[in-house]
Amino acid sequence: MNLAADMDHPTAGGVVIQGLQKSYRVGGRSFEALQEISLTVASRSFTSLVGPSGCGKSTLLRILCDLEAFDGGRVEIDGCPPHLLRQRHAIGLALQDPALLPWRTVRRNISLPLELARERVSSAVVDELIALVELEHFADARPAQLSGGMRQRVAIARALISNPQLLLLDEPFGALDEMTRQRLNLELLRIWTERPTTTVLVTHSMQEAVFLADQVVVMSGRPGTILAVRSVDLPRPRTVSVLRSPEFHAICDELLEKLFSGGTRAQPVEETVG
Amino acid sequence: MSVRRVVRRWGGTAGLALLILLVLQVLGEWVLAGKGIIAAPTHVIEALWDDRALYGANVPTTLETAAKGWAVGNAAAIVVAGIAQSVAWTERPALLLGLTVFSIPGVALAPVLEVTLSGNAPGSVLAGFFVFFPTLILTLLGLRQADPGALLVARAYGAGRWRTLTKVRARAALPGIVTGLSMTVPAALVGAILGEFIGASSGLGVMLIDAMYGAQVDLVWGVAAVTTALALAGYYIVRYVGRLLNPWSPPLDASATASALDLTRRDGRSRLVRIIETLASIGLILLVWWAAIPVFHLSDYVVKNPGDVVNYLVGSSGSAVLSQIGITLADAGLGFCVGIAVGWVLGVLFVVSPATGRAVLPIAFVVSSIPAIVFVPIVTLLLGRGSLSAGAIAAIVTFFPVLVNTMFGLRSASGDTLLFFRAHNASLWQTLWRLRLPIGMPAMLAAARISAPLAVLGATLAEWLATGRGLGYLIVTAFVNSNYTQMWAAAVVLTILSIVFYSVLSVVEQVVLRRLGVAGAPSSGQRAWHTVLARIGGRRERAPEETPQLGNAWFEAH
Repeated sequence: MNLAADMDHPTAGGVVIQGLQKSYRVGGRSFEALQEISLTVASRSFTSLVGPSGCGKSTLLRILCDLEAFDGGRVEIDGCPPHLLRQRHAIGLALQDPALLPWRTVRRNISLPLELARERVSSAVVDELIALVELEHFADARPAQLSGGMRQRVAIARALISNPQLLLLDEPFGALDEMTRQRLNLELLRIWTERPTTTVLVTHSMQEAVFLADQVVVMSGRPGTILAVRSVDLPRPRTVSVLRSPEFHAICDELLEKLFSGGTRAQPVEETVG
Repeated sequence: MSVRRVVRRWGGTAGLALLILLVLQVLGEWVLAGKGIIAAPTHVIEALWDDRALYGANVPTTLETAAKGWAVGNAAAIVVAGIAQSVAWTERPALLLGLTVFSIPGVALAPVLEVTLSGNAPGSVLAGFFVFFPTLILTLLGLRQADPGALLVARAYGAGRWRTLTKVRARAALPGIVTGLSMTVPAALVGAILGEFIGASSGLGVMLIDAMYGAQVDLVWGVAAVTTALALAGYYIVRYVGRLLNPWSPPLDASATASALDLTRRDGRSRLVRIIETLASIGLILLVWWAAIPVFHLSDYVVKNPGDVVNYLVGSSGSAVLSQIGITLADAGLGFCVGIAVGWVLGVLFVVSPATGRAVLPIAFVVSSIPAIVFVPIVTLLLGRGSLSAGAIAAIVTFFPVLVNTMFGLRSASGDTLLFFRAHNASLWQTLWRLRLPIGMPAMLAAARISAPLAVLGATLAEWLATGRGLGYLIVTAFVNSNYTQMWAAAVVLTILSIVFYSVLSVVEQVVLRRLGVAGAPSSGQRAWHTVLARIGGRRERAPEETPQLGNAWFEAH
C-alpha cells in the first residue's frame, strides 16, 4: 500500500511558493494579507507556520487548499497548482473546529472524504485509521459522545483517509486545554511518523511548532511577511524528553527573539491599517 | 452604500417587483379584462383614490380594534412570560396555554366570541389571541438569553429573583419583546378583520366581505393593498421604536435563536408527570369554561357548556358536525402538503442559488405580510369556489414559515464544515445531500409541525368565505341560523382537530429524526419553533435586508 502511495507521489516535489501576494479589500481600502511570500516545503516533511493572530498564516493555508484565490506569485504542490490538487481530492484538512457531522458515527465521519471523492469505502482502510488514532472502542460512537480531544483525533483520521498529497492543519488543537493539547501533539507526532505526509501546521504556540516540525516559519502580520525560516534538526523519533532538551529551548528562544523584534517593527504598519 | 452596491443588492428585487406589476397590469387590463379576477394595478390605484372617503371611514375602526387586541394580547404574553420565568412550576402550564391559544382556529373562535361579546370586542379578542403565543415564546426566549455571567454577578451581589428579573433578565428580553411586538402586527390586523366579518358595521373586514360578495375586483385588491401597507408600516414603526428604546442590541432574530423552547423537550420529568400536567391543564380549561357561564351571567341560550357539546356530538344530530371533519381535513391536508413542498423546494433553491434568494426574498417578505385573510377573496376570484381554493389558501398560509425555516436550517452548517466540504471538492449536490439537508432536517420538520394549525386556519377560512362546505362553513351557518349548540360543537371539534394534527406531526417529527440519527445533533429544529408560530396571518420577523449582521446566517455565499 505504501508502495502504491510512493508511485503516486514522487519524492521530488513538495510545496513551492514563490512571490505570493494576497490582498483584501475592506470598505474600499485594500490591505495586504500576504506580501512576497516565498517558501519551500520538502516532500514528506513537516512545516509549522507560527505567528501572532492576523499575520496571514491561515490565509496562506487556505490558499494552499484552494479555498482562497491569490493575487500574484506561484504556488505548486508536487508540481501542481492548488486547484488541481483539490479537484483530485488530494488535500487533507483539519481545522480548529473538528467539523464532524453529528449524525454520523466515527467510522462514517472518517470515510466521508472517500464518499466525496466517489471512491469505494474499504472498511479495512477505515479500521486501519481508527486504530492509528486509537479510537477502536468508539468506531460506532457519534461525535456528541466523544471528548474534544477524541473529536480532533477523528478529524485527523478523516484528513488522512484519502492518502493526501498535502496535509493541512489549522490549529487543530487550538480549542483544547493545555494538557490534552500536549498529549495530542505526541499522538500527532506518532501518527505522522507512521504516515509521513507533506504537512503544514498553523499554530501560535512556538513550542508546538518546534516540537513537531522539520522546519518552522515565523510570520509577522500586516502585511503578512516571513520573518524567519529555520530548520529543526532535533533527532526523530522525538519524545517528551525533547521538550526538556537545551537544543529545543535554544531553537524556541531564537525564533521567539525574531518574532518579537519583527513584531515591534510591524507595529506602526498595524496602526495605519487598524 | 454606493449606487452600484444598491443596484447590485436590490436590482433583482426591483426588477422582479416591476415584472410582477407589469404582468398583473397586462392580465387585468387585457387578458382577463372584465372577468372580475385581477385588477390592473393602475385601476387599483385609481379606485383607492376614488374610494378615499370610504377608506377614511373604515380604516380607523379596524386599526383601533387591532391596536387594542395587539396591546392587551402582547401585554398579557409578556406578563405570563415573566411569571413563567420566575415561578418554575408555572412554565409548562403557561406554554400549554399558549399552544392551545395558538391552535384554536380563528374561524372557530370568531362566532363564539360574536355571541358572547358585543361591538368590536370580538375582533380585539381575536387579535389578542393571535398575538399572544408568538410574543410569549419570544419573551421567554429573551428572558432565557440573559448573559449567564451577568446573572452570576447579580446573584453574587445579593440580588434576589425579583431584582435579577428586573435588572438583568428584563433588559436581556427586550430584543425578543421587540421582535414579538413587531411581527405580531399583521396577526392583529387579521384578528380585527376576521372579527369584522361577522356582525360588525364598519371596518376593512366589512369592506372586504362586501367587495367580495359584490364582485368589486378593484375594491378587493385595494383593501388587500391597504391592509398590507398597514401591516408593513406597523411592523417597521414598532421595529424603529424598539431600536430607539433598545439601541444596544438588535431585535432578536427568531429564526436564528439557538436555544430550545419546545414543549416536548426532555426536562428530566417523567412521562407520567408530563401526562398528568397535560390532563390537569385540559381539566383546568374545561373548568374555566364551565364556571364562566354562571360567573359572568352569560346566556345559556347562546353559550353552551362542555356537557352540552358532548351530548350533542354523541346524539343523533352530532353526525352533522362529524361528517364535515373529512372535508376540512382534506382541505387543510392538501394545502398543508403543497405549502410544505413548495416551502422546502424553494428553501433549497434559494440556499443553493443565493442570488435568486436575494432577489426573491424581499418580495416573499412583502407577500407574507399580507394578512392571510385578504388572500381569500383574491384566490377565490382566481380559482373559483372549490376545494382547490381552500387548499390554495392553506398552502399560502403554510408556505412562508416553512421557506424561512428551511433556509435557516440549511444554512446552519458551520463555516468550518463548509470549508471542509469545499476543500474536498464536494459538488453542490454532495454538499446539499450529505451536509445541508441532514443539518436542516430538524428545522424543516419543526416548520411543518408548527404550520399545521395555520393550514387548518387557512382551510376553514376559505370554507367559510368561499367553498361553502366543511367545518369552517358549518360553524358560520350554525351561527347565522342561531343553532348555537351545533356552533359550539363544531368549534370544539375543529379545535381538537387542529391540536391532533399538530400532535401527530410532532410524533412523526420525533420518529423521523430518530431514524435519521439527527436527533442527537444540537437541534436547530427547535430554533425554528419561534418563527413559525408567528405565522397566524402571515409574516416573519426579520426583514431580509437586515440579515447580514447575523454572521451571514442568510447569505453566506460571499
